[in-house]
Amino acid sequence: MTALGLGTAPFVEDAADTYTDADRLVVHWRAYQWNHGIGEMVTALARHGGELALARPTKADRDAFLAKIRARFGQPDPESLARVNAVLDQHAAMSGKQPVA
Amino acid sequence: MNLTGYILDESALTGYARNVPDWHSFVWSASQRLSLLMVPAAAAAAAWARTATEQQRDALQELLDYPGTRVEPLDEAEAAAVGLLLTDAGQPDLLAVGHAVWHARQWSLPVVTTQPESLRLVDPEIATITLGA
Repeated sequence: MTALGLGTAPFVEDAADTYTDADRLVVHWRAYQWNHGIGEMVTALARHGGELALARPTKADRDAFLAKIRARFGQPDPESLARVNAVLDQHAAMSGKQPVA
Repeated sequence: MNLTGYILDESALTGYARNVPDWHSFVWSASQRLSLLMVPAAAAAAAWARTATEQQRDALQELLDYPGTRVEPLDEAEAAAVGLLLTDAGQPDLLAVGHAVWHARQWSLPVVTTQPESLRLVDPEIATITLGA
């Protein structure tokens, strides 16, 4: 079991060489290796309170995307936008996940 | 830390591609908030299947290309998990719905949808946000 709770047992071997610092003397030969998929690791990190920082859009991404939406569909209908904002705000307040300004 | 984001099911994706006002507003507002838009691959496939025009396909592709959108693949492990979830619910045909429910559980995020009933067939406790006018 790893620190993140990934359940697969490690592959254990005694190896005199390493893929890093190949010209350095290896004092401790016992090596432990895990092989986990990216999705498994990301999920495990998220379950341990991690934030998907890498996946978050930047403000520049957002502004570019909003410009594309505006070019494609125009501005959202004000009534619809107000209603949707109210629903999202209500859900955020109930879940304790405040929207990012 | 809080993760702000939403799981988009097929109805949300199709609604945006068709420029349904509430889905236009939702994508606009969620993007303004820098929220993540999580798209299960099965929902994306179902939405692609329901696009009727080049304009709808362009809009869908643009949404999927946005850096704040994450298309969640249906890999071997997830295929088994989603399939068994659907078996437990007695709903073996609701693949796209099951994939959305599975990710909603994984990320503790609500599913935005026009069809909460179909999601509740798979998980009666699933958190949903219903839009679609």
